[in-house]
Amino acid sequence: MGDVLAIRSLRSIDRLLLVLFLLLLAVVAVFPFYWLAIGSVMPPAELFASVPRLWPSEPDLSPYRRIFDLVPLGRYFANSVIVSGTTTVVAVLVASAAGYCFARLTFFGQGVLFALILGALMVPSQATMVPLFVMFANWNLLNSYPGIILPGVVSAFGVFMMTQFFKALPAELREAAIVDGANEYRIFAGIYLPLARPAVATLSLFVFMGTWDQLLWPMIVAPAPDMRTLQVGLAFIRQQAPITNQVMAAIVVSVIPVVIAFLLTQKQFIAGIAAGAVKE
Amino acid sequence: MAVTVESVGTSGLRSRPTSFGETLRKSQPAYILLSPYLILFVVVLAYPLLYAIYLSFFDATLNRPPTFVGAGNFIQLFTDAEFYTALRNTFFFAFFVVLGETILPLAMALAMNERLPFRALFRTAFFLPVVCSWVVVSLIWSLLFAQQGLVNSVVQVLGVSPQPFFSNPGQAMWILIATTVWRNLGYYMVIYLAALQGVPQDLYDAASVDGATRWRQLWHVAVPMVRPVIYFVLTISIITSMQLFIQPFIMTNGGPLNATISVVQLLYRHAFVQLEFGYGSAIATFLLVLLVAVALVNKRVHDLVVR
Repeated sequence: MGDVLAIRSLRSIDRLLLVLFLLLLAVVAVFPFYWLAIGSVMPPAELFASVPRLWPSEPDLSPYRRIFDLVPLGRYFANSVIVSGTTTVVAVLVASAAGYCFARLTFFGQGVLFALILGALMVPSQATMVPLFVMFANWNLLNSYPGIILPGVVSAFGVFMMTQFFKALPAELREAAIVDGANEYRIFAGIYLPLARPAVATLSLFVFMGTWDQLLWPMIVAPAPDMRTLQVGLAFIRQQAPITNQVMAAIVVSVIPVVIAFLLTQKQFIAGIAAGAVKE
Repeated sequence: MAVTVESVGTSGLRSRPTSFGETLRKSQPAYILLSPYLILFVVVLAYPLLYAIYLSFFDATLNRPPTFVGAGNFIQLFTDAEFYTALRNTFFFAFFVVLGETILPLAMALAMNERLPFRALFRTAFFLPVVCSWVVVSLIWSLLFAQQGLVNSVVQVLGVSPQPFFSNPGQAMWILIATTVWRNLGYYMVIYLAALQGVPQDLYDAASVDGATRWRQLWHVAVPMVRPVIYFVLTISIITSMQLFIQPFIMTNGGPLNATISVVQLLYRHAFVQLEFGYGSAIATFLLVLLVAVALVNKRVHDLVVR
């Protein structure tokens, strides 16, 4: 079968071409970050030189100090952590409970409710933002953490994902527990939920990153300077810090935690972000 | 009074509740576990959605009771040139972004599926833009394409005169498209790659026994096998592109002269800058109908095309 193997695999030249193709794209993907990093420590004159420089002559960390004077980045960051963290915890718990119900329990109206929730997947988030703003304005929730958090806590996708996961777990666990006299809540919290750790982790990452990256709703409901999330703060940063290397420093500071988290947990991170597709 | 029949066995598990009251009572734990989600769902999604549709028939703003205008908002919307500009921009953007996001990542995934060196490094590199938020990505590309930015410097070094970029309607739109595709390449590549890795080796072997080169194997075996995933990528790419907001908001603010304004951006301007809640809700209702229509058409095509 020597002949077949030769036909089947790629020739070395093809392999080389593919590597070059990927390398070119990889450079395109990574270069802006490199430029960001070096640009944040270069003075504007160098940054905007007519002959582009790829290395700073004298790295200068002052933009990093200046940007924290000009813009409350720490506050923005803390707001994002509080909002994303709370949303994630609540959304995942609530969606897990709901998913368990649809997967393991039978109840009146099950089909209709599930169909409704699936229908919600088709609704774009922007459709509800105007009324939510009016409602929250009336309830005094503007510029508050609950105001930013509440809409994000309903995750139809989360319910869908947890339902699929719980369906895949054996029904015998519940039946055995019922025979032993456990009530439904204990069965959920004590048996099925702990088994759902991988799905919970994936969903948590998915919700956290989705909330972290959000701009439109946090900007609408909480524009006040002390309540801005990181993304909202960054959206307005050029008004408060017109110097390019300062803006770059702010971006670097914003991106570093996420990049580090990504580099440390690549497989899980990628799985979490691509969670929407993992229903093969 | 309903007569119930105890089934054999003392565990209390009945295979079939025999009255409606029975059914409801058995449903109680489910309702309790489901209630947090249901309550939030109604408060934050269902009710506001209905309210949005309701509001679109009114002229509403802060500190003033809304006035009923019937179809007034919609008539104004469908006779507004700015609306059609936003729609055109959004569709133009969506078309090319979807093209780029569906095809190029597939090619990348096909390459990454082969036994090549440095694959882990490549995967990290491609996913780096994906972990960044759209605000960050938009800011980075704004800086790159600034009048005195890096790209113009390189362009001049190559002997070409400096380009207007964001001041030019055509170039501005293409920069938005490129930014979006750049950020999403890694995301869709990873999805395709996962699908490709599920293609069994025997299929390739069978093709090679028939004399197919690796390239033909890929085209005739791998790609058809991942057709459902291509379809899936197409779907989410279309739906997310239609909701374009951050890139034009950050990079061009819809300019120059509305050349890059998107439908969601129009909604933002009317509802949250000019505080025209009724008109904004009309745009939101339109967007809802548009996206639901896209989802339904998509599903129909899916059922026809994917076996």
